Amino acid sequence: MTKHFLLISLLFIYFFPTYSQENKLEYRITYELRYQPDSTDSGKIRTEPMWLFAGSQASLFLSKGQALKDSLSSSANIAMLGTEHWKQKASATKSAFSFRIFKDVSENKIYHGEKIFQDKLFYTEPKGQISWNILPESQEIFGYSAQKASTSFAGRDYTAWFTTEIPIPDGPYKFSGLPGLILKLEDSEQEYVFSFVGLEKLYEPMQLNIPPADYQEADKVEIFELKQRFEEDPIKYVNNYVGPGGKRITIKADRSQKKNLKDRREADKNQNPIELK
Amino acid sequence: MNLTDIKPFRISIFLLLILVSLKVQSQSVISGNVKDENNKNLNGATLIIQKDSLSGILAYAISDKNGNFSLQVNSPADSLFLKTSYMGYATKRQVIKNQDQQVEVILNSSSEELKQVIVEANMLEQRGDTLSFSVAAFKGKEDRVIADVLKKIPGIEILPSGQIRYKGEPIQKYYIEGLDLLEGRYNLANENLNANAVSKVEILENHQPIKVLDSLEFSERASLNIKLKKEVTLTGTAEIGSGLSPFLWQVKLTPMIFTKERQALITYQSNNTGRDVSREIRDFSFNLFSSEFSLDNSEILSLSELTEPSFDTERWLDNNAHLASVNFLERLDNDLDLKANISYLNDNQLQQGSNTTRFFTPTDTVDLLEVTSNRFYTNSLQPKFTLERNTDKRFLKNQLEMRAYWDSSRGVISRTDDRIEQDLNSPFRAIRNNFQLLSPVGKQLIEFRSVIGYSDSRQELEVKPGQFEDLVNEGNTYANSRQQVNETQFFADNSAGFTKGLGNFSLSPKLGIQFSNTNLESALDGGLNADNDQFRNDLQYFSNSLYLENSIRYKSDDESWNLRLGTDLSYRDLKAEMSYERDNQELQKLVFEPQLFVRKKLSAFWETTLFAGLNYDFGNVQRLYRGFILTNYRRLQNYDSPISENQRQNYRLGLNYRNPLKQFFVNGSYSYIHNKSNLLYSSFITENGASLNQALETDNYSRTHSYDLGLSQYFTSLHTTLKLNGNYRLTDREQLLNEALSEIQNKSYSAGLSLDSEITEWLSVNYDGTLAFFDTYINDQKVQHIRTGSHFLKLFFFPADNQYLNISGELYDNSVNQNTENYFMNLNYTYNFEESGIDLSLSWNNILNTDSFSNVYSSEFSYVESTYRLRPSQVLLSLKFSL
Repeated sequence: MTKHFLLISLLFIYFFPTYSQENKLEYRITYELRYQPDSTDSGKIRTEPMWLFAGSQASLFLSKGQALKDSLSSSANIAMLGTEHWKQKASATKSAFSFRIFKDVSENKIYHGEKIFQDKLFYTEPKGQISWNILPESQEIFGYSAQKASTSFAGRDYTAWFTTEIPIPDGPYKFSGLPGLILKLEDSEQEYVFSFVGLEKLYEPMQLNIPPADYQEADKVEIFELKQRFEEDPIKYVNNYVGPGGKRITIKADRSQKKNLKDRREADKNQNPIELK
Repeated sequence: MNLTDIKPFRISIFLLLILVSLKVQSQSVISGNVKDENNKNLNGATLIIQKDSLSGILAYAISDKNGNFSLQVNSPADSLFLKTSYMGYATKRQVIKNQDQQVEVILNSSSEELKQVIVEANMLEQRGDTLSFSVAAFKGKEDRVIADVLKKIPGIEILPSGQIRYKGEPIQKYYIEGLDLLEGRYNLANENLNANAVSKVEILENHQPIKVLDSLEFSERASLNIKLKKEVTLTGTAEIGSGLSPFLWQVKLTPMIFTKERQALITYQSNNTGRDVSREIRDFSFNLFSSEFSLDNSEILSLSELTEPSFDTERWLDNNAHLASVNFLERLDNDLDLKANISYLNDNQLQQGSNTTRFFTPTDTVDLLEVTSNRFYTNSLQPKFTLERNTDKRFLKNQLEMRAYWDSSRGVISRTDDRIEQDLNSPFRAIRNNFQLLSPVGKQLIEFRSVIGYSDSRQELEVKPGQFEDLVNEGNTYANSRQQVNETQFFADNSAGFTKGLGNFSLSPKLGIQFSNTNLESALDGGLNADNDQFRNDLQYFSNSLYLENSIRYKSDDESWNLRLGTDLSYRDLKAEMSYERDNQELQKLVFEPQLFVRKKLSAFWETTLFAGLNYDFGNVQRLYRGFILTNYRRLQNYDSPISENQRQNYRLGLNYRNPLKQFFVNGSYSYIHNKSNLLYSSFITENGASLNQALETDNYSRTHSYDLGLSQYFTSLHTTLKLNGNYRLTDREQLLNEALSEIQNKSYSAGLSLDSEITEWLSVNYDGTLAFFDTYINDQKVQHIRTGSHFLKLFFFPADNQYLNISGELYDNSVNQNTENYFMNLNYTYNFEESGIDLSLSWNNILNTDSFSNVYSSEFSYVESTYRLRPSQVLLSLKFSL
């Protein structure tokens, strides 16, 4: 009897259906993001490469550093450890942006994903937040003829330049829905500027589930509270963690270390988020 | 600005007003559907309406899930230009009338691809995960060595043994500046490398240490790389301490040097404070050569020992230890490393206490009280030489290891009316060479492995007076028994295999041959019948095997599936050649040993794992001797049986749930082990408590069910983590007790609770408690009920940033017939002189001066109350500083 019960529960567990659609992303578009981490200090400018993996129906937008951190299919090379090249590799996975934006183009749906330590969570953006005004101006960008459009989103006014020559109705961050790829996007204060720098066909298309299969949907406020909690005290966050196979992790740290860590996090913090409200 | 050129995507009230006022313009709605030539709806296609192919955009749309679209056009023009484009299809341009209408757009697929704009960048092909932690961010003022800092890095934990784990899994390699100086003995560096010399700790997730395997074999394990501040680093730590009583000392000196081509680490350590120095040279390396030939001495003869308490050695270990270790690495050319690791350990330990053992037999119980005093002298030398070449094209590693032990021990047992002396000498020597070569041939990666080893163990146990009058001396007392055992083994294992990756699958078959020859000789001396053949052995044991192993791995793209299937097939040929007119034993068998492991991520919060495996175990030479051997003073043992065959089925199912939003985590697992064995070992207990063991041939089974559950919840407002865990285990087995077959059942339940709370900035509290019950049944009759409990309470005070006070209390209780309780209290105070960087620490262990530790445990047919003499209350003052 117990044997049957086990077998049935196993079958149930292993063939539990997942309701998300799998998409093939064939192109990788690279943007360079120039941003101003402190809205009161226009002299402090940082840049970071961002990637848009695009297919005909869906896309994933994230920082290159995050994408590299995710690429689990292979691993590092010993001989390179300690070399200059290695240092570059190690620093390549650093990123100030932890978001992953999943877009379902034809359904006009946007999912905002966050990976906090090992926890993957997402929330769904309300529909129809970004509506475009197409403007008559045009200019040439990277040999493409690009047309101007404008919109506002989350407390900032944006200008976009898109090209109908690339039939990917997508763009950086949560911006999409123009009849062609966005080549440049900037806010009116020039605090966030995304510039197209490349388009490559992927050697092997990337598989993407939308909504993301291994992400759990949660409330936007909850996610950001949790993220803040992790950033403020990662040690405490990890101490509550139960790892693979139920293994427990405990890390001890005392007051001065925690304070140290907190100060450093505070210093690194981006005071000028892309979404102001 | 020409108004006709601007048409908003959505009709807003504002625009409507304008449109109403401009009556000259007419509005038309063009809707329709986009399909490909196979009548498949295309979603996500871009549609644009222009006046003509060169003018501005009048309207646009993107086709929906069903390929439908709708466009609203405000234009006085008679005809419109419609452009439809879609990735992978030729763009369609058509002229349509400006009127309400349905348009069916059919696109033809095209092999034409988007024009690529290649990004000029340096690291696009980079793969693999590295997390880099700046040591400065984690290092506290009181941290001396790198281990202190590592403990604080998220995901890293260091076990009491010194083993480092990352996200719960042991790390694979411990590099210093990319070089693997210490192999698995990384504790030496970890506990002695000055944290100030380190700039960064890099965690290489999913690290494949063998370069040619990169991208073929996925590695689940992480490795650590310690980055130093300077190219040439001369560093180290020193610790000196002294205390009372008796006179205590503690010395530790560890200088080290690191350059790009050469690394060296030397350590000398000595103490009599109970600190276990052998811990520092413990090897945590992953055995690349999954060899059955061990370099450790598995002694047949032993003293009657006491069970060591499970808590900190500094509370009970009475030692006098000296350890010296020299580790050297030289990078000979680009990819060739030569390493030498040599350690010498000398220790003198004293063990005192008593055991009260009650043996259960179906008819009777036998009680035995033993007061034990043992002294262990350990002398060991462990050299290891490694040559390693690790490139993209080839991996070559040859490792020569040697061990020499000159161990001896002496023990005295006082019983109610007699006193028994034991004297054991057990010199042991072993040598092993491991060779591994990995090289690509065509598209495959070929691997050769070879392990050759030889070991020689000579054991001699003298027991005064002799204990087996009836068997050995015709019922009369006799002065002494001297048991000698010589065991030598030659071992060779050679194999070739390859690894092939096929998309998400990887395949690694391996063909090999293993040969092992063991010679076991034994003789008993003392007593009239001792030179009788029944107390002698001269046994040649051959164990050969031809094997074909295969492992298939699968990993889905989104990593939700992880699967490993092993199908190991082997032909075993075992033979035991006996002397003294005993029958030889033989066994030939074809064995299939499958294994399956599945990990499935069900959703973001749920994960499940499944394991099932079958394996066999045949004939151990230490269970084949026909002639009696006196394995310890009260156990005379022989195995009058064929070659043993054990079959083991193992199943495990685990389920994990973690909800970070609620800070709530649960994991549960169930496992079942089914053992089938062809031999039943019987114990015959004589009146003086001596036991005779024999093996009989009869199929028998044992089954174990285990259930485990763990819960964890963090309470934000209370700054407190609560963890609960429970376990239930049920074991059934058959056993012969005084020649009667009995069914023995053990049940154990345990529950644990832990609380971790930061009450204020300067005080934190930690509590850990466990309660366990063990029940033993013989033939469904409950014969034993034991309860054990342990409670720890720790208080941490931080009066200032450079000071720290820790007070801890412990309670262990046990109950069988009566209750035994052990209390401990300890205090530790550390002060850091910030300018000089010296740590002063004062510890007072065992404040209550608890002199002994009592413990009760039970096996299938006996229970033991054991008392272990502890170290007395003592105070130790020590200074720790960097070199």
